[in-house]
Amino acid sequence: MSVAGFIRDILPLLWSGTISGCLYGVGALGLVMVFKSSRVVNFSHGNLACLGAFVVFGFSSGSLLSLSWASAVALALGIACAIAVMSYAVIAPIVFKSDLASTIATLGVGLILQGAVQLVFGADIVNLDLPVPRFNFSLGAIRVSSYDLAVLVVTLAIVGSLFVIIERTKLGVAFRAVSTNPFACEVCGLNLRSVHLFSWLAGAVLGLVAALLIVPTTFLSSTTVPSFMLQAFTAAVVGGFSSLPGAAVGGILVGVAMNLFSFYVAPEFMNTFLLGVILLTLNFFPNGLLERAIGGRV
Amino acid sequence: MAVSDLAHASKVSASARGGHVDIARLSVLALVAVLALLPLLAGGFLLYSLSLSIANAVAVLSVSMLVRYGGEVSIGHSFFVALGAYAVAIVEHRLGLSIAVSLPLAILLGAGGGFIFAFPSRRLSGIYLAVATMALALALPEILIGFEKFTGGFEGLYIAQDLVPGVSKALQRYYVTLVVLIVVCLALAHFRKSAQGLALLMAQAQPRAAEAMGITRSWARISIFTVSAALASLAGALTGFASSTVSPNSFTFFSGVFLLVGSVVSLNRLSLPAALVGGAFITLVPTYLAKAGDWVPILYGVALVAVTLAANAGDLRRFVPGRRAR
Amino acid sequence: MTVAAGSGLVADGISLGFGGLQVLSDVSLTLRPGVITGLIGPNGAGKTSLFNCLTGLYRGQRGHSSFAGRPLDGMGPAQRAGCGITRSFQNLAMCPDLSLLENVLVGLTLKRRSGWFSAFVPTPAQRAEQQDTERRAMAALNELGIASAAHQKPSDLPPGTLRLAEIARAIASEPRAILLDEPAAGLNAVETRDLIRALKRLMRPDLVLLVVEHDMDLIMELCEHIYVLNFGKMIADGTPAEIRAHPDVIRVYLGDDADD
Ligand SMILES: Nc1ncnc2c1ncn2[C@@H]1O[C@H](COP(=O)(O)OP(=O)(O)OP(=O)(O)O)[C@@H](O)[C@H]1O
Ligand SMILES: [Mg+2]
Repeated sequence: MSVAGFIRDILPLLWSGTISGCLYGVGALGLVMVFKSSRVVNFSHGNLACLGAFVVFGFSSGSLLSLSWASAVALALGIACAIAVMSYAVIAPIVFKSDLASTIATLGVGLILQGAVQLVFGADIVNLDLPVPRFNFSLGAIRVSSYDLAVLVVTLAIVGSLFVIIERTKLGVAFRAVSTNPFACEVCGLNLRSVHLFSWLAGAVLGLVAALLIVPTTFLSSTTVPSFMLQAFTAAVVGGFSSLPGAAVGGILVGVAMNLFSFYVAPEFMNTFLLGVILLTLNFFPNGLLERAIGGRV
Repeated sequence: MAVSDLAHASKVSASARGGHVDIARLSVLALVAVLALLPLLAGGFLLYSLSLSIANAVAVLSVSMLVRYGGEVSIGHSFFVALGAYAVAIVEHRLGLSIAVSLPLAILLGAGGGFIFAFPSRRLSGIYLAVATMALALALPEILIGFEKFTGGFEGLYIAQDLVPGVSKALQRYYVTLVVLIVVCLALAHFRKSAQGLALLMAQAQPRAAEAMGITRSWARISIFTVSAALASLAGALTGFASSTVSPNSFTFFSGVFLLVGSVVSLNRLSLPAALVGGAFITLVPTYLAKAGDWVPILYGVALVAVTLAANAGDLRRFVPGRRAR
Repeated sequence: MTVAAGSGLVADGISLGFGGLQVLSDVSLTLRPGVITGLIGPNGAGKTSLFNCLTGLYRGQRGHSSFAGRPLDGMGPAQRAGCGITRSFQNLAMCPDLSLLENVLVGLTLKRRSGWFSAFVPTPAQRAEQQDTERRAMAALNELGIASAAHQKPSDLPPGTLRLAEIARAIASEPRAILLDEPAAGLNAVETRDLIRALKRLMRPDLVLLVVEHDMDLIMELCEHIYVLNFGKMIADGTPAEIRAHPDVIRVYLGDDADD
């Protein structure tokens, strides 16, 4: 591999890694929101996002209905939020008792959602594109596509509005308080349940958005989205699992690292690579790579 | 006063416990007898499924053991099961040796793998381990397919060697797995009373007090995962032997979750009946509800949620201190 | 203090804070072997926190501690336990799944040598060790008069019995230093008297024994030397008679009910 070739390859790799990394970050944000507020690792995150993406497909492609893409997305968001509320309702009785038991319960919810997708949509592999005009332009060595721009715009909008909600609204203040010290908050009369609900809803929306944006680069099947969530989990671990900025930056790091690994080493061992990243991070940076840089918390 | 106290105490408790043990022991013995005679009634595919159920019962025990003694959840134990199963197949293909050699080897491999895997998260709370096991479960299929040279890729490998020459394959599969399951249950009963078993239970219930007794958290976390992975690998060796084949088909992402389902359904108990219930649930349900295939995840999911909710409904006392300690 | 640095459990200038709250400030004490030492102080004075510093459960405090001349700084709780320091817990650290006897057996973990193989497979050596440790645990329970409850679960037993079991666990491993956090809390008068007798019997010339208590009668009867902690500061130390007469102590702690 020559130096010139390396320079030619590296910029596009970094760019596309950043783009997909944004989506891993958005997926991870949903996990971290739920974890921070309720100490539950939500293993149904990917299954719910998958269900939502299939709902968009079913309602816009004509397989169930043929609505416009936008109204299908609106419907899917509604359904995803309703399911998030229901899953939280299922877990609510044990959420304070045992983080392990509630984590197991989210696996159960995930299995149910997975089964629902298979039942309704079968094991088919389908395409689900974004309704954006197609164009490309070059920025030096990097080719920027309309898809890339869409991802960037949506990610920035989502992260920005999340930031505003958490920093500026009463709910956000409560969320920050709860994630710092749930017991003190209950004493102070803050309503933990509404904060939990907020984070579960936010998680569902973030997961669905990430799924809708990632699916155009591959395809949609009952297993792709749940396994895409491994990237989100890895991003969350790299970011420390309880830091929102950590999750976002962790997503980009994971996206870039995956791109480099699959280009230079072995594309068929992506998940094994992520496993290695998780284990190394847990061993050497148990509180996330960014612990020192940003202090480990929002 | 004290000495008479002691004698009195041991008499009372011995008879109290004795009565208990007798009934429990008799019913387990009866169960073993029924299991030993089952091949007279069942044959063919049913006997094959039963052998697999028993092998899976051992795998379920490995997950239950992790929950009981470590308070930890794994959805990636399929990795260690596969490790054991492929160890049997590869030892047979490369070295021509039977399960008599590969079974102990599988246990060692599982212990080594479990140690390496648990080491990084030794100081963290159990949820980090759960996340890492998810990666383990997802990495497994690509490793099995990627190292085609050893694993036979998509096709997998066949396991043909018998353990006891001259006994029919079906009976052999059944009885070898049954004997191993019974031995495992006896070993687990012994473990409950051992120094290590007591130390692990204490480390889980009272981590800080346990530290003050010399039982470190990282020791507890690494050792329970190592032991549990070794048991899972042993179960894998049995699964390979009982099904005579290994292939990536039997080790998808969901097989790890299903092992957890089996454990939860058996209430994470470590007894022979509980293990059989868990093993049968995850083996026979998909086999005999094949027509309703798409309903299986839903059924399992509902089982997971329902049993978890029910098991935690009445048990406030136990979980409150555990939660704060994390 | 006029004790050679080489003996006993010594804490020197321990300070500990939680956020803005200074829990211990510059606390020093010397626990001599062969002497039963008492530590008293009002609720929230920092007695348990001092225990936690001495046993390594709290890290990040300032100051030094040493045991028998060996510095303990930087050691975790398990390592300190390995040095022969045991303790009981104020809030009853019993494992609910284990019987009382088994809860005491756990206290002997560091003394046991059986390996992982014999954890799963019975061996003669393991069986002998099991019997030996059970005998020692039983003897400790017996010493405190609760042997009759050995095979019951903690949830079926009154708090007094559990309290005594905590102490039995601390003494079972024949440690070189025992720290007891409110050993008589929840005990009735008879049990308290048994406890005092047991602790006096336990005393050996080479044993360090520290008792935290609110029960003044017990402390005054049991201890030869008493330290008084208030708001994280050591305000007095001396013999029971000196402490009784100490004006600061009377003001902040003993108050009115000390007159009788
Ligand atoms: N882990 C902790 N985090 C924050 N504050 C703590 C912690 N542990 C102790 N404290 C505070 O330190 C102070 C001293 O507590 P400590 O338990 O040591 O007192 P104590 O003398 O043992 O009281 P008591 O007689 O009630 O047992 C208290 O104000 C307590 O709130
Ligand atoms: Mg105290």
